[in-house]
Amino acid sequence: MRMAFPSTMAQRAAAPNMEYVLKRLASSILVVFGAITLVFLILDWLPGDPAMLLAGDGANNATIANIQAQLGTNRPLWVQYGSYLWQLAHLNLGTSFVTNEPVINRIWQQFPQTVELGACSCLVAVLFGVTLGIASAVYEGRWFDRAVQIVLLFLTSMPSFWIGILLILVFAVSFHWLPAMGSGSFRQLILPTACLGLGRIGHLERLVRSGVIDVLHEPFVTTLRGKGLKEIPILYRHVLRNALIPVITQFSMVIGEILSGVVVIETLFARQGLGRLIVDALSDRDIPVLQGVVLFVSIFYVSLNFFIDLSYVWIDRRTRI
Amino acid sequence: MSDQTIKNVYPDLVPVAPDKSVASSQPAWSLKDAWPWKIQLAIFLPCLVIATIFIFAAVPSLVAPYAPTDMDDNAILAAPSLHHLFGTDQFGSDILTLVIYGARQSVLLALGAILLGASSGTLVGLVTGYAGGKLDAAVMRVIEVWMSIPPMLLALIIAAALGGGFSSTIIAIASMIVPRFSRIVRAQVISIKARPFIVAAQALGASKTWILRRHVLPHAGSLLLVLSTLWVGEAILAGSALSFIGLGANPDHPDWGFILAQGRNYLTDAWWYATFPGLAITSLVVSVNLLGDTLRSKFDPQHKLR
Repeated sequence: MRMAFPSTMAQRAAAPNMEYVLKRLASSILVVFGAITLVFLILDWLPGDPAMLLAGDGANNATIANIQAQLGTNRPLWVQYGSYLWQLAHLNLGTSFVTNEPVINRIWQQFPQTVELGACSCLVAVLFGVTLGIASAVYEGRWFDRAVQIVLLFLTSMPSFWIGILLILVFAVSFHWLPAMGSGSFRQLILPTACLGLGRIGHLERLVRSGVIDVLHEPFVTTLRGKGLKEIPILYRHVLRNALIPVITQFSMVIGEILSGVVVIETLFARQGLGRLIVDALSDRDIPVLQGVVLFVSIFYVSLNFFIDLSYVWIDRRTRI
Repeated sequence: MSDQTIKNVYPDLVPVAPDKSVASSQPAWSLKDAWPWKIQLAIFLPCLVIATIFIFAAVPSLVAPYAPTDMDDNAILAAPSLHHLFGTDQFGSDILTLVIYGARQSVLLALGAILLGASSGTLVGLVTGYAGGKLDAAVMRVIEVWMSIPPMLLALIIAAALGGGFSSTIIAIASMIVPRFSRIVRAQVISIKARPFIVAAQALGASKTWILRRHVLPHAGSLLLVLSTLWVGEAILAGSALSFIGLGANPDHPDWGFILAQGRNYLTDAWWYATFPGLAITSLVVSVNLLGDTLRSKFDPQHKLR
């Protein structure tokens, strides 16, 4: 009986559901298009005319009008929107109001640092979340489970920047073990990663725990125990397979939280990265940079979600029709 | 058709208190193997903390040891002592006093955001879930777009676009809550909609708003309560994060995130400056989350939320 499954799996894997993939791709593209429009509209409300800011205090109206014409902010909204889309289609995100660099260059400079931090925090969150979740499901209701639940309740309830400040106070200020500022080296990565990753363990651990508990209570596990199988093979062979697949869909939530957390953490640890770029652009009213970074992060997020969904379909046979 | 007509003609069809019939079939607590005092503690302790913070928020002048404008020139950045339990800041102001006065901003921010976010999210979820069809499809697409921007980034640009400050922070945080809330409410409404008593009410000619108000909303009530409690914690954290970046409260009414951001500049000299405001945020959020968990294990034993 068991041999029958791998062959069907192989057949199905060889013929992925192209219709589903295309549909999902089309909807992702639509969502990205919607996000472009949404961000454009929100940022149009941003108070403070960038031309006035650039011209500085005491500039006369002619200078301001001149700068407005240069920036193109004096045109009607829909013309600006049209030209923005046209530029985007040519992968041109505009130039920074402040440094006059192309926005795309600034994003590419900062992107690696954010990916580095984000990927490491994600790894920390997933590693701890999944192992702790499995362990506390196995020891459901015992002291280990309760201790984990209480610690994680605190970790999820602490503001991430406060975790960061406590880590800085202990590891940088008191003991001088790790640097508190800057980016580039591995040692500078440890504290921000811990701070961003630790807070994200809670939600994931909960999902894994309740998933594993649900499967452990299913009749087939009782059957397996009745057959005389040991607990450990039951857990690894049968329970985890069933319990962990749904968790994959929750990765998108974790990634969303990390992409959100990056803004605060990069500011706190004075790191380079996209989050820092956003905060700086906000205080400078540098709209092209702001628009560019938010769009870039959203597109990155939507494409990650697209691949997560695809991998889910690929791994879980039940969703294939 | 009015309530009374339906009650007279078909008394069985009008559930007087819909939730009781559901609840009575289940044990009052799903954690029945846990000791009752633990559950009592899990309700009592968070309520105590929340009540204390609410008192801070309501009447700070009665509780705080000093006035927020008091500055002690002899105790600039003084360590915690009997005179200043939480220490003092760079102007010699008492940090305990600042934290007590900051409670109002933080609490109002979270409550405002959750009220705005939960009510609009519920409205959207109720209407789309019940109406279905093209309206539902269109609104769900908008929500998908909305959620494609990571929540904090969206809140950040909305807060900035509205000019920063108190009310724009509330709107920004509500914008994180609305799409997630309405999705869950919509799913719940769709499952309620298929139940026989709704079909019966429809067959009797009851209007849509009447069904939504009398039948659907009460059945979604416990879910809304749990969901709101769980989101209060997120709202407090998001609000303090926005203040920390410098988009939330104004310096005249500093909230906890703002004090924390100030304290960050004195980490090497004054560990207490950033530590205690953070402790305040954490104790409030822990209490709210613990309460939310306890409520959830009562109303949602199968953990269908999130």
